[in-house]
Amino acid sequence: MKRLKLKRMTKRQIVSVILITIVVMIAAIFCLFPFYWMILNSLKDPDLINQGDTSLFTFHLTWDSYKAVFSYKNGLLWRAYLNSLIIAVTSTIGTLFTSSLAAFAFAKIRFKGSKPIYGLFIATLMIPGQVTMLPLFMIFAKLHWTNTFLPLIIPGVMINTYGVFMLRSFIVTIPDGLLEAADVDGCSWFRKYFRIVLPLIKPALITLGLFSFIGSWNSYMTHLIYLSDESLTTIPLLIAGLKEQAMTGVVWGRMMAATTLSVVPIALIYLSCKKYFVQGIATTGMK
Amino acid sequence: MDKNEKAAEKQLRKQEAQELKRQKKLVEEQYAEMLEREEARRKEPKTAPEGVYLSLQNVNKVYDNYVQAVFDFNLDIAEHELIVFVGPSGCGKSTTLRMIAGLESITTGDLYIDGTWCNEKTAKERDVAMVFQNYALYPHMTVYDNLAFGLQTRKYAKEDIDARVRKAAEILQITELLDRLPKQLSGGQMQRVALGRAIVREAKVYLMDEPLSNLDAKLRVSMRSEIINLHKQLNATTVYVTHDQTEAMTMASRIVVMKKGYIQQIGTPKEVYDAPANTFVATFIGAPAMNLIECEYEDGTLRFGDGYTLPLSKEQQARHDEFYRERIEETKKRIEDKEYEKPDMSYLLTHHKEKFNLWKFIKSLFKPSREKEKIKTPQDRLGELEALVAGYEACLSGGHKLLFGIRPEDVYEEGGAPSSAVPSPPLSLKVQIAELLGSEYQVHALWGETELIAKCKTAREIADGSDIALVLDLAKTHLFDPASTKLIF
Repeated sequence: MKRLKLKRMTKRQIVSVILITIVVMIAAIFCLFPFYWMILNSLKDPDLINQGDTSLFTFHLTWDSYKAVFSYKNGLLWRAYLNSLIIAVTSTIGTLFTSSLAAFAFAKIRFKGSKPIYGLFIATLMIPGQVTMLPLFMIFAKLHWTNTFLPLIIPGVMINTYGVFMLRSFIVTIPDGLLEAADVDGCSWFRKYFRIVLPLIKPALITLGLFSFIGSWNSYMTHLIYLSDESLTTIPLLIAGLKEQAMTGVVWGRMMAATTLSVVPIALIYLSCKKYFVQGIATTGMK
Repeated sequence: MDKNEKAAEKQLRKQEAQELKRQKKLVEEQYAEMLEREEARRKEPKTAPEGVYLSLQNVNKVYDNYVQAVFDFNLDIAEHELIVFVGPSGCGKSTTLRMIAGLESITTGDLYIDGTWCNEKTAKERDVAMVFQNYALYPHMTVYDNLAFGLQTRKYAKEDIDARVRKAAEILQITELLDRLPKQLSGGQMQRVALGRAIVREAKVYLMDEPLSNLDAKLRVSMRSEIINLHKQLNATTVYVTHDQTEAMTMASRIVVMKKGYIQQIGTPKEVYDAPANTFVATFIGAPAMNLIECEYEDGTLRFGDGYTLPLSKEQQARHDEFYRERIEETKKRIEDKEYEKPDMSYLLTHHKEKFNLWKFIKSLFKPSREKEKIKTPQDRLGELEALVAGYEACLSGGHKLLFGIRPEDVYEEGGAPSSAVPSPPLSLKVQIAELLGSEYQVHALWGETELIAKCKTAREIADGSDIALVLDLAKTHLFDPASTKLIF
């Protein structure tokens, strides 16, 4: 079948296909190499790494680094997994709920000043996170929320400008006629939201959910600021903690093993939602 | 252009701009006042009109940008009627339907459904069912769920929902489609589901917004008869909107013809066809459209461009005189009521508040734009009304122009008229185009300067460019006044 297709193409088309394939493959190598390097080093003999071994292939693989990670501080890794998961899941669910509600209102409810309010809302996207970091810390400190998960969950749940922006552009494409039909069918605003809008924006919700989950999972700075108790540690904090062993410098093997382990849940989620994820990006034209 | 002319032009522009500003302000004030008055009026107790199922009284729809979509709409609908709103696009028919459905607010006026004042009721409370032009099926639900959704919302019992859905599916022959998603259906099937969604519920009023316009011609005809059957079966009060006069003629128990937000005529299909209220209705209803030919009226005789004459009967002459006396009286009353002092209503439709557009603004700095139509001042409009009265008076005393109307199906080839017809003296014309439509010819011939279309049932071949003798059925001719476009008889 494929050969037949190739035969039908002109020479020029064949050349362009080959060229494009080469370019894409080079790009793929650039993207995948860090992962390969990470996994390779997590499996290498830690002593070899310390000796400065940079060979790209080796057959002397051991699980030593992984064992070291699992046994680190009596299995703190499992605690960190759990903590990271709690934070990521709650903030993601919260964000999806509030963002979709706000997006629905901005997209489909006509009220006075909706446009200026939305403009103002979007303008907050311009403010870098670093600017609000300190004021936020002071607020949360006053609330005695430091050393709890709340500062890591609540802000994202309360307001996720990017999420509202993305979902709104998705909801705008739902024809008004559908909501009018729902009106005639006797729906309240909430029923329209739950029964019509939410099911229709599922791809966008999954995409946003993934973004939000990954963002929370990988977030290091805020976790570092608010969490100091060992029992509250999260994966990024754990990896940072693994970095050094007194006097011996960076223990690369352990770090690479922990990093590999931290990627596993995200990779699983991504693979299971890939269909929706691509659909979401393709239909919103966003990334 | 010399200096004086330029100055005069500038002065004129300035005056126009001032008049426009004055009227704009007047419109804004009037709109605010209208809303205020309406608000007070709505607080008064309402009594529903008796013996009427659905009633629209003095309904107006003005959008916030002062565009008026519907003017003074009055209509009473009896139970079980199938009313069809028909008119070209933008005539306000869909807006009126949406006001009945509760999807659009009513600016002023009253809406009663089944004895209840419904202006401020939601779509749900009005208990109406609607079929949308683009079907508006929920894409993520199966056909079954689409049909059941409205019932679930209204908290019907599960068994009841199932029974109703299956019954509606049976009536519309879509039982085997119940598990499918809308995207797996053809246009005709989607249309059936959309209809089904309306009929599962026993709504007070069924509203249909151009439900057949997205179907191909063949399917449209078959769906049309199905809707007629459905209406006979359910006997539900239905309001149907279409731009297709054939649909209106075949389906309606009464037709409401609309144009530019105004009702032109309300009547049974036969009434509208036989006695169109004005030239718009005359040409809109019926296909091909009614022939309208300019002629000169003098002393009871019509004289056409090519010298052909037609004498009018005594009754017809009396009707002509009576018509003009009525017009004079009516116009005089308009002057008495000082109608000309009100802002130009046509202005409401055309000059809406535009959104600020930076590019247009910059362009206007370099090239001052001018209002396309001249704004009419009250003096202008008074002058117009007075001229109208003078014109009508002249019509009563001397010769004047009229529009003579005859439908293509009432023009026959000489000798081909049925015995019931009152044939006119023969009219010899040259055939421009003769279109064979199977059983009959549609002959386009030039009469004076106007094209006359005739539907000729004939066995012989009619060639383009040949001569033909036509007779008109004098029992079915119409006369229209060109100034008001109204029907004289």
